[in-house]
Amino acid sequence: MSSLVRIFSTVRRSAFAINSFTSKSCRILVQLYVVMNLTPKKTKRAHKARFIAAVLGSTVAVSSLSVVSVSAAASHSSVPTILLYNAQGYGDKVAATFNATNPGFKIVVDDDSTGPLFTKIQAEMAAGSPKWGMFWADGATEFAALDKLGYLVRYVIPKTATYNASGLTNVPADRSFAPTGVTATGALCYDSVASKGIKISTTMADLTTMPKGAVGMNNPSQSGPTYPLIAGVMAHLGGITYEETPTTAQVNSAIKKGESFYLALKKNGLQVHETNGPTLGAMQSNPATLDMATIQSSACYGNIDAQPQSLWSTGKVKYLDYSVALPSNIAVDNKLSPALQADAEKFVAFVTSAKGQLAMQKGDPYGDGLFWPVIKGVNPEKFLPAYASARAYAINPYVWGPLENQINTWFTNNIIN
Amino acid sequence: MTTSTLTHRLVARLRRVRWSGLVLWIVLLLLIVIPLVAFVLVAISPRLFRQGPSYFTLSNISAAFQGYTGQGILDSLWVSTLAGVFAVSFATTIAWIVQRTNIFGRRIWSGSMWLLLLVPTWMTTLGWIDVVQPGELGSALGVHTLFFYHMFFGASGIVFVNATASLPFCYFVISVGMRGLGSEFEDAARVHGASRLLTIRTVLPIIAPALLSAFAISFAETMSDFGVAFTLGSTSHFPIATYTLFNAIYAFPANFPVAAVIAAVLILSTVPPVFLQARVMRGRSYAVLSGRTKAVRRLQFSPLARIGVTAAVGIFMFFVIGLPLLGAITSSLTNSSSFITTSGIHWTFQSYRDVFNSLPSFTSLGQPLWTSSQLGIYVATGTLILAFVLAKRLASRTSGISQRIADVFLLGSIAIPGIVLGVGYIFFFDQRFITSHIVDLYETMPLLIMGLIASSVPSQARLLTGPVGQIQSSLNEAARVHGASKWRAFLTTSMPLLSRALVWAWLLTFTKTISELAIAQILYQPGHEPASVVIETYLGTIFASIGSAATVITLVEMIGVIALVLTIFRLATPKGWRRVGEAGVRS
Repeated sequence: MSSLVRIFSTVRRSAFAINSFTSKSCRILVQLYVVMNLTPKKTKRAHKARFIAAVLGSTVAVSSLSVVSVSAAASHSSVPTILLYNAQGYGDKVAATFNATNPGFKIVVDDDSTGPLFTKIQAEMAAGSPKWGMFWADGATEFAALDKLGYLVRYVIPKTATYNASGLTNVPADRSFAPTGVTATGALCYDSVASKGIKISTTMADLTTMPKGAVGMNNPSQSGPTYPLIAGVMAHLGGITYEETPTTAQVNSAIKKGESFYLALKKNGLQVHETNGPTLGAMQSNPATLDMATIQSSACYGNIDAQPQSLWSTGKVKYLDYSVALPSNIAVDNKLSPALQADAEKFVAFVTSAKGQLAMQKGDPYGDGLFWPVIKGVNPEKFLPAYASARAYAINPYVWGPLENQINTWFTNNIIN
Repeated sequence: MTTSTLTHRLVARLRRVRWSGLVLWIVLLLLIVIPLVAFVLVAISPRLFRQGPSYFTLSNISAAFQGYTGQGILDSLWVSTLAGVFAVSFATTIAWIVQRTNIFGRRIWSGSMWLLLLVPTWMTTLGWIDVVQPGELGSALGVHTLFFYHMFFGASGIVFVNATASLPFCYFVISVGMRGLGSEFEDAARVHGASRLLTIRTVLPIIAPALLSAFAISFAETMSDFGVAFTLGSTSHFPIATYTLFNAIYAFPANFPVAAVIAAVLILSTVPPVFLQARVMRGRSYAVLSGRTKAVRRLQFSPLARIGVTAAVGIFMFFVIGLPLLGAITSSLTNSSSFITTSGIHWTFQSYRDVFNSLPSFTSLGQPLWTSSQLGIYVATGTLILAFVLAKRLASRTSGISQRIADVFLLGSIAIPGIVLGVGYIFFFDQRFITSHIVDLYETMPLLIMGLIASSVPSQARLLTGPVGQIQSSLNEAARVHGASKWRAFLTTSMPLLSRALVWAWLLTFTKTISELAIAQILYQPGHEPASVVIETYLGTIFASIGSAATVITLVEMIGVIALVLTIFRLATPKGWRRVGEAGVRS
């Protein structure tokens, strides 16, 4: 016997006494019967027990059959369906509101984080039979990447959309994805108790002069809104605006300045946590291990303004000389049939209407609903200050999107490690 | 040559084909091999999957071995080796103490190992974070945890979590080996004047197959582990291959070709341990079990030593499984971002209420847990059938090429990260010619079930090979000679002997399915998220305490199902079936 075969079958020959009666094989069955202890008196009880067990087992088995029927129900819907890959907290509620008034087709929501959804889209496109119909998430760089790969329907933004200034700033030239809201990343969240005695900085540059170890941020490889923040800081330091198409030299210069800024922060004890949750936890713990952090404003507001009671009553949000605009966007797959594309565009029109914007706010009032609307005439939730106070700097996703892997790798190697 | 002669030959040849083996390999090809090959092919032929301009290139291979990703591969190799060595060493010590001494509470320690086996690495890691992170449980107990926190978020933390995750499997494999090893070997060594240390050095090599197999599995499991990469790897400032693979797949845009190279390296890395094992064991016999094997004689500690050893094992098990569980439980009993806040600890059941009355932006746990449980039943049953058939082939006395291939293939399959299998499934089953002309399975429950079965079968087949290999074919032959049908012969001979192993294999697969994250996240049906996906969405956010509560509830459900199934087993099976599995063991 091959030694390879023996690798895991460590116990080859039986330790059971009954197995050794090989010469008198009939005795094995007799012995087994005795070992089973099935005397006539006990048979009745055993049958009863088995009956109970069978009923229990069958109940579980029958109820589990629904898992297969579940798949059938979704794939054989009576109306055409469009799959919405959704990373927004309010996506389900908005889709339900829309479906209620649009009976001709149905938006089916696939909720997940941006990363897995983006991976699925690319894997589906690679396989050649994409299932996704629309993609809705925070950030613009991933949408620019999909657009560059030729996956998106262009001119998807309806003519009826009446964008305000913050919305218009984030509309791409080929209108291949539609901004649906704006938040700011790089807002300075801090704990008023933990940072007592510290003069909170007023500019981004001043963060390098805060007490050692006082400042924190998220890991761009793990936290979606963090790469746009880093790119925004680089763009701001390099003076590259949203409209501009910079030269390679300008971009490289901006990157160098940004790298110097983050190296200076690191030298001053910059703390990098995985995502918003751990970063906020570090500021809220007792003793606090972090005094302040540049993260997404809506995450801070979500903790501070939580209902029925605040989760972070000592938390504050301060806008420095600039933050970075983080638009949420929606896009449509250009592999959809023309009829479904038209239907998907109806949904895009809905979320870029005043009614849709209100549905988004209502859908997740203390989470993702804390955005600044991009449609004229719609006010932000009462917890938010005026958008102008955020001094949000917009970046060109077509310039900074392709640099994401390069900059994240640099950050991992030089700041995190 | 006439047509009829050709037909006869063809018919004769077809008759000689072993259809069962053919069907088995077709199933394995569809479940594991083809999706995996589809994914790995991208590494050298990106254009096949619209990932680049080249039909053939080696540039991705060189890219994968450079910088951060190259470092990740090297780190993974030594981390897996170290985790394997630690797991085998501790498992051998504990197995010896539990099996061969009069330590108190032997059942408790074996039970703890089962509990540890059921808990996925991502749960363990998050539990530990809830202990060592400043402001969490450790701080509440007055321990200055910053040192441990930095230790944990580094190579030592990754080795520790992976070693503890591999510990139970090593324990069970080595325990089986020790049960069969009568104390006559130790006595012989002692009689010939060997010291205690020399006795151990003499006797341990006898269970080399168990030790080596435990090491090989630990190595493969650590190489492929996604849970640690997903949780600890991201902030540990220490790249490991599964994390760089995860980064390549989740990059904007995704770098599937480099991820494919890393996946291939992970799978191929299991080959050296297998061949090392083969080389070590070549030409030697380790057969020590027979019908005359004597019952084990336990070492009798003095009362004081007995208490001391029990306490040592207790403390060890508390650190390995008790503390992370305690961390998760205490975290779930607050609803603040940190366990201790500026205004103290706020004990509340709010997180448990929120789990079932979810916040607007989250899914409540009820339906996903039900979906996961249903998935668990299908996956565990499917896995059990396939793993049993594979185990029978592996344990077969007639060694053939197919058996050897199956053997290496199964170990290699253990090292496949779930995320690779998930993306491979999309690459293959979402191909247009399949979705248009054969079957459109992507984003349906059946495909998720297939993926989960594919990820469970290799390790379960390995687990069942031992018990299946114990059964002498004469039992079945005797039943057949006496007129029993194949099915009846199996039911009356093999089934009683295997029933406990089969039940535990089913339970293990069921619980692993509920906590599985990597494949579920890629392949779940929209609108029907499994529990692990829902929990993960909570854990990265400011609502992590709700995620902890959901984790605790999921664990309780797992334990509840184990209790239910064991009760059914107790009610449904004759007493002798349970007794048979315990034969030869004195407790």
